[in-house]
Amino acid sequence: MAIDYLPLLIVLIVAALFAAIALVVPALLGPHRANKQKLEPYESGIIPFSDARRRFPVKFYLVAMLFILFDIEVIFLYPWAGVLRDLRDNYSIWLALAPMGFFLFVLIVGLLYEWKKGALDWK
Amino acid sequence: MGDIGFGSLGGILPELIIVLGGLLILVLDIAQADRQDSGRGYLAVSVLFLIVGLTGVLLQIGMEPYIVLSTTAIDPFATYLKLVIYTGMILVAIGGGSYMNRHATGRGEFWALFLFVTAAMSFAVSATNLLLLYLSIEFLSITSYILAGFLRTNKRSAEAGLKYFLYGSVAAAVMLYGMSLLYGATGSLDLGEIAQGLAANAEMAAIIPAATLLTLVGLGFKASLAPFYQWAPDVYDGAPTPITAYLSTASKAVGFAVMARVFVVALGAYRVEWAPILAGLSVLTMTVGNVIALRQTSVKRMLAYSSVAQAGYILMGLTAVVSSQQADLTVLGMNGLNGLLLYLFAYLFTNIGAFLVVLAVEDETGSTELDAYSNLVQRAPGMAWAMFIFLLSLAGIPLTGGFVGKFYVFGAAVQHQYFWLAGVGLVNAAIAAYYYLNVVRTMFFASDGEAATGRMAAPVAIQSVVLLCVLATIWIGLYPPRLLEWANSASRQLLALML
Repeated sequence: MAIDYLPLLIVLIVAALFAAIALVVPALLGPHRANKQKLEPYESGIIPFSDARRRFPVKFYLVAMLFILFDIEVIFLYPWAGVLRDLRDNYSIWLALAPMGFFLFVLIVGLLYEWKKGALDWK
Repeated sequence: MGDIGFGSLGGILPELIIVLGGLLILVLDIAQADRQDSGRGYLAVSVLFLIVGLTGVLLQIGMEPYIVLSTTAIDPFATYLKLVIYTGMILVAIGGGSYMNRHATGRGEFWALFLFVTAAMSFAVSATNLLLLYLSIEFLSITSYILAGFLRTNKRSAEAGLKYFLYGSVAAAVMLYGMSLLYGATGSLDLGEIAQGLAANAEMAAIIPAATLLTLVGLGFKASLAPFYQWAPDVYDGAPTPITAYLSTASKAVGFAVMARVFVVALGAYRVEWAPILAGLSVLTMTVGNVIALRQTSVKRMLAYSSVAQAGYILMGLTAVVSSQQADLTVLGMNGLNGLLLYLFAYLFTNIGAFLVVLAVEDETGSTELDAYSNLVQRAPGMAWAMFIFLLSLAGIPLTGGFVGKFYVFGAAVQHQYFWLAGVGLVNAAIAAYYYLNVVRTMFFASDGEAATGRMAAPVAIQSVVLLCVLATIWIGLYPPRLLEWANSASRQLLALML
């Protein structure tokens, strides 16, 4: 049972050793001649102009959150569309449409709410 | 999966109605446009929908257990806990609603969330499927984070919301890992099928300790058990008092209910292994909660730590469903689980009542410190006597609901040969009596007379809910046969599912 996993353990150990050696040996043996250019973060060849960790407006978060909500809505629509025909043939067309109708209704109420509350205004 | 169709949704009609109520409030809030509403209408709508939901649940009592869409059980256990949840939320809405309306911005949002959180709790206690269980616990958690931090301009409230969020998301991630192990071991998300899968495949037993402990982290977080309780005092203390009232009762009840269902139904075969762990957590929780509560100078914070300690007593009930000596658990009069359920109901009225008294005092004096309570009996005799009853009940004095709860869990612990657990529990109850009665001393016999000026007029809504809580606390203290019967049938039904 457990012996079957022995190769996995060996791979893990080899990987850990490889990483450790690759880090430790150059640090001990390699030359250390740092200059300003070498210490700069590499950003696709563009010269950095300020600290990346600065504050930016919270409205980006709001838009990101709304995007995720409606993105996930689409994810739910896909499997439903897949079984739609099946449900219609085996049960009834209402049983196929009503649950998704309710789901979309809830989302539309949410969309209306955020629209009226000004979450979609970029200000 | 045979039960597809609109008819199968009948069982979850109370929850659907509650969700529709929340949506209705959102729509009403849109219609208000930019005007800030007083929120009174939302309060009325919320209470109305909650009462409709409660009625629906009352109608489900005594029904044959069945499962909606393979995920949501309509059984005596879920129905009992829904009674606890809806009753608690109605009491909180009536008693604390006007406070929230006065202090919160975005009242429509508040009441919509209030209804959504109720629906989330209802689904959590009836979920028989790990996926729905996780989703409803997350739904409950996320709405609770928002509600705890709802007074955005209040620093303490914002801190409570953030702390709850950070702690809760870590706990949820750990719990999800545990659940994924259970799924990986058995290939099923259904609690009953997990139990069968584990029984059929003995090789998988190695994964059980890890899965159990990881799942316990998330559920223990909800129930504020000892190693995962650090959020509780800060959140209970910082959150608006009405929110604290439901977090420490209904939301905690959900933690215990889900824990009971997962441990009894899915992991019932391993009860001999997990019962000692729960016993250890129980001892740790009650001791930590009581010892820290001793040193608190704020009544709200003291009640927060006391709430942690009470979680320890409640957990004794789940521990004492098993013992190596007693093979047939369902024949016992005290099976621990019915003690847990009774305790939750008694604790609901007691704690909501106590927090509403705190709310009334906070409203009047702007303080939750013990000093604000000195000579309360002269300023507001009704409130002082009510608080007296609640504190007696929390301490577990006979003729109060708290005594019945403690009697059943301690009795079950003794019956299941957990003598040391019952002993530690008794010592803890004695420690707890000190700080509860300290508040009583301050209220009735404070020596400094300077705070004793002027009468305090608590709002009628708070007064009536507090009165209701007093009556209910005493009612449960008199061993109401109907409540005992509900708790018994709920616990028997769940234990019968144990493999």
